[in-house]
Amino acid sequence: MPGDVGLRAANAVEVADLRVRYRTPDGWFTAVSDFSLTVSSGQRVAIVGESGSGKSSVCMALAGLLPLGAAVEATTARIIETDLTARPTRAIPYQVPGVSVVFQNAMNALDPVWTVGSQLGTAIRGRGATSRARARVLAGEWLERVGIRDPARVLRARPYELSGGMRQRVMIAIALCSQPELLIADEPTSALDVTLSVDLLELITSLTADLGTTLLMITHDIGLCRAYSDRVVVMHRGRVVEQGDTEQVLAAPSADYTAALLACAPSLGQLNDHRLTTMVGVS
Amino acid sequence: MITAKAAAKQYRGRDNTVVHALNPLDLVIEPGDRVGIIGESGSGKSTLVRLLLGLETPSAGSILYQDGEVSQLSGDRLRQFRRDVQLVGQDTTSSFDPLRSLRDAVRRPALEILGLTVAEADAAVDEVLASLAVDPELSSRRPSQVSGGQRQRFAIARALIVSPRILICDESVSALDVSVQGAVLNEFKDFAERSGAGIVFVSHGVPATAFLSDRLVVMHGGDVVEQGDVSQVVNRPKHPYTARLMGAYRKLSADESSAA
Repeated sequence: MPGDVGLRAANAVEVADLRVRYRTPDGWFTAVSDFSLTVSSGQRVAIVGESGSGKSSVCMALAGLLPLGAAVEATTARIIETDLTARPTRAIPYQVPGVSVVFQNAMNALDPVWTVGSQLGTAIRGRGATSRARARVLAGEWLERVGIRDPARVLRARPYELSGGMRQRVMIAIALCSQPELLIADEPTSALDVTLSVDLLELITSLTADLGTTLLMITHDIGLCRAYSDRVVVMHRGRVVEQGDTEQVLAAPSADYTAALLACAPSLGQLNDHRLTTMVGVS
Repeated sequence: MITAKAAAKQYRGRDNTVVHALNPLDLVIEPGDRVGIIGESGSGKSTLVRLLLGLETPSAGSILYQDGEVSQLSGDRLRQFRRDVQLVGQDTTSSFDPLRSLRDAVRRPALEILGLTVAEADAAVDEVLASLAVDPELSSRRPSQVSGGQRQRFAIARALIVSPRILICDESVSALDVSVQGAVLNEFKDFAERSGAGIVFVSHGVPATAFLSDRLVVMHGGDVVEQGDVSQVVNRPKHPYTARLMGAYRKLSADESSAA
């Protein structure tokens, strides 16, 4: 497939002082504050943090997909060509142009009623004027590209007829067939087994490299972050505690929280350890 | 104490096809054993757990508790089995009654299995919560009012209150943040050391399983493809599937990526 990469902005993401708040019955809840991040085109950036750290709120804000009850404020928030702060609010959230998202749970993200061929075809036709027949052919090609061996059968299948790994491959095809400038992957493999996680991350990083797509990945898995990102942003309780070159941060973290998070991830090197390190006392 | 003898399970799938969830398997678990069962989704782990707990009947072979068929137990023998063998599952939200307090949930096995009075059961709840370093104040809350890590501790307390001889942990830490996982794993290990009970730790996560186990059983596609001493299975796997699995972890670990 020819990639019409064209001219790209130097930075895919430029965000300064991002704050995300949600309206709750008890008033406003601040999920993210003082978040700043610049990602140059083609970089692979991982945001790591635990549940409640605000990492998903950041990504949904950048994709333009937060619900109406959420307030997004920033001094700068430019995603590809879109200024998030100047964007009109609509009743139904709408995606920022040039951004695709791969969600954690493909079963919920895909439509159970339509076949894979129909959903992938719609995504391909959304990119530009393409006949249905041509979209079908391209859909088959995309399924092969994401490692599906019998595309003819899968095109006719509905999501629930596929395994979890196959569904995730279909979602990757849907996300990347529009050749987005930025792919946001929100815990793309955390529901899957480790051998499959590694296969899918290899797939995502090689396809985004081919397409020149910038990758912003959210994960709680330090191992995936280590193997598949150039830069890492560590979040804790809605704030960035540390960011930098992945190798450097993981080798020599400057924040206590990062060091504690790294220490308590169990590894195969600890077979004979009596106890695992825990985070008690770190906040 | 629990013995699987050529135990197998088949389900009837769509179009009347037969799904072999678990092929004939032999396994002996005694108090004091630490057995890790690893495998990915669809490998047969959960089917095995359900058979060991007597929640399902094997299609062939047998599951024995002492020397009685688990599925045939009744009355006092069944009560004894429930006392000896307890489960901590994965989904802590659905395993608690959302309308009742956590104290109520933990107290219940003490009342029904041990036959304690309410006052005695309450004392037992406080004791088991203290052993897990859980703030007893939290026990008046409902399951939705505590964090996932705290809820999992209450699930552990509910299992430990009857002093089981064998604790079966089915993906018990998989849904927890890594910072909480370590603490929960330490609690399982402390319990085993303190009580001499056996632990069957079932998970798709190898590092956590290896930490808790002396013996590893590797499952794939309904078969046990390999079992043995934990360091042998991790460091010198014999089966290609095990080698691929350990390879995936090594790829994500510090020493390998820096070399790559």
